[in-house]
Amino acid sequence: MERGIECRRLMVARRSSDGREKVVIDDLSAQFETGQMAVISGATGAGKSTLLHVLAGLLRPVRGEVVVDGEAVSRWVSSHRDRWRRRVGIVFQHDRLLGDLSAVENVVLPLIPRGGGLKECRRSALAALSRLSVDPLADKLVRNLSGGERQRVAIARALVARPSFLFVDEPTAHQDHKSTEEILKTLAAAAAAGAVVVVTAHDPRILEAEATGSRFRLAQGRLKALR
Amino acid sequence: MKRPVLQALLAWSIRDLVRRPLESGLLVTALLLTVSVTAAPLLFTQALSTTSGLMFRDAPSLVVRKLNALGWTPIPSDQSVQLAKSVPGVIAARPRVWGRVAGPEGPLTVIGIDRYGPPLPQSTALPGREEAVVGTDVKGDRVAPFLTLTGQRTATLKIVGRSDAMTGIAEPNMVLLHIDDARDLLGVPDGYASDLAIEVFNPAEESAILPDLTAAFPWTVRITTRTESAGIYAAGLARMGGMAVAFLVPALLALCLLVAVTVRDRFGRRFEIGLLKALGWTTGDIVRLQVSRALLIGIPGAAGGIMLALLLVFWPNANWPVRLCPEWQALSSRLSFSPGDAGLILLEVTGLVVLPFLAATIGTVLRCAIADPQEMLERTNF
Repeated sequence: MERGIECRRLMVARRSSDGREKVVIDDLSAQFETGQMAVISGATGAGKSTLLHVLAGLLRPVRGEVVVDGEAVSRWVSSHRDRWRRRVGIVFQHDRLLGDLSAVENVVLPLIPRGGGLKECRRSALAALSRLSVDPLADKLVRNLSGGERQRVAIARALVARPSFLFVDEPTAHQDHKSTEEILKTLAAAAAAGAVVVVTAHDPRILEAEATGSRFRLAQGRLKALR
Repeated sequence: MKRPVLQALLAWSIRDLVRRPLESGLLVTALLLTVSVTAAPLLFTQALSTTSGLMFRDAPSLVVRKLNALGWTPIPSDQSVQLAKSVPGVIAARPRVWGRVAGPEGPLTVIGIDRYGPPLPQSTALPGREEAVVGTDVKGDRVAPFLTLTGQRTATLKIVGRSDAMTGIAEPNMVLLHIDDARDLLGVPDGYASDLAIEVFNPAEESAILPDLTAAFPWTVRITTRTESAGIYAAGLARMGGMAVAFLVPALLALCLLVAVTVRDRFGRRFEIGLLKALGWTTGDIVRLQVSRALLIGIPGAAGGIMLALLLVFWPNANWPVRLCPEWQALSSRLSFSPGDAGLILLEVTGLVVLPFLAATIGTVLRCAIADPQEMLERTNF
């Protein structure tokens, strides 16, 4: 059983548009447990997305480390970080789908290097789309889908490889009430299946949802536990 | 790497190419044309070299021609054979009756056949009076199967066979005639020959024997060694080599453009590479994807380019390359080639064109693949 993911005194700086380095996350420590859906809220620009990117191995911290199973994965060399990312599923704030591909092709992408053959990949991708009720859109080009539909396709893409760590950025920004409930249910199911799920949100529907576990607020580069 | 993964990667790289059909098609076409423009001059010069090698292998060691104030003149056959054989080192002397006459579609090389030769394969029928055995490229009159030739006089001959035999004088544009018909056409009297073909005991003696041989004849003669004849063609080959370089310069410029476009394309795909890494693709997976994509473009491009170059140089009726080499027109319009030559050219073209293309693909992808995924996702306008 995984013991979750831990941030130890993380510091992350980003270069702003005027070329200056700005500290986004400063001395941040937190523990996200296996089997729970943790929610991080915070003002726009507080660094929620940056924190998810560091957790997912897309960005390196300036200082501190991300620890999984006693290993500082954020310090791993590039080739090992490739392997770390294979255990991760991520939903970006802006869906980051390839518009000239169909929904199912986008969802197949994480499965291709994992093996299993294209037919099996497609079957798994359709099942993931079905969990988010977007399987009827499977063969439509993503650029022709609405914002909400694209977001659900992006969540299906993150879930399709059954990751042990799921980092989700504003998953309900374009969703109606019913879809929000469905997404929360799906994320909770992933947590219940043994994944570490970390969600960032402004959406009060998520912040007040019963399905969520620990809650944090990110402000001035630091994370404060709310529950 | 598991086979299903490779299959999935290959299938995905095909899908990736289909996403941008115009771009993929243009890349294949550009590579095809670059390879063909690079390979055609290389193939041509190599084929000229091979053909001249084959031709001079069958040519006599020395050729003696009698000269007078107006130029060359027929040489007495029996007397000249005796005189030549009196020179130490000469092992055989054969009078030849041959020359250039006008045919229906241009100049042809007429060769008279008699008891002295030249030796022909058993499959080639000997022509009788008013008959002709023609080379593979010779076209007859509109009224088949006749051939009208014009030299000192005009003669219409019946074509009784075709032969691609190597006579050492000419190949596809030759016409084999009965010796008496050849004499009539060329104006060579009975008992005379156009020249004397001499074989020596030791090929290294070709030059050393010249003073004795020249002194042996009571007339002014001009003696050409096999090495001198080959030298004329070597000069032609050198000129063709220079022309090949002239062809290669724009081809290499095109290649530079192709590599630049490939590099730009890969950098333009930083977002996709960053995304794939974020979705769990390793650097190795991305390199394999891009290599298979580059091969899907490179293999048809290179193979098509080589095929096009082969067609340009060796297509039976495409004798334009030979027209570039005036010395060649007099002797042959067909080029020879060997599988070894093809392999060599393939290696050269691979080194010149395909490897830089693959290196541009892999090098750029590697540079992208070792960067942090978020950096690639952010630095792209999407």
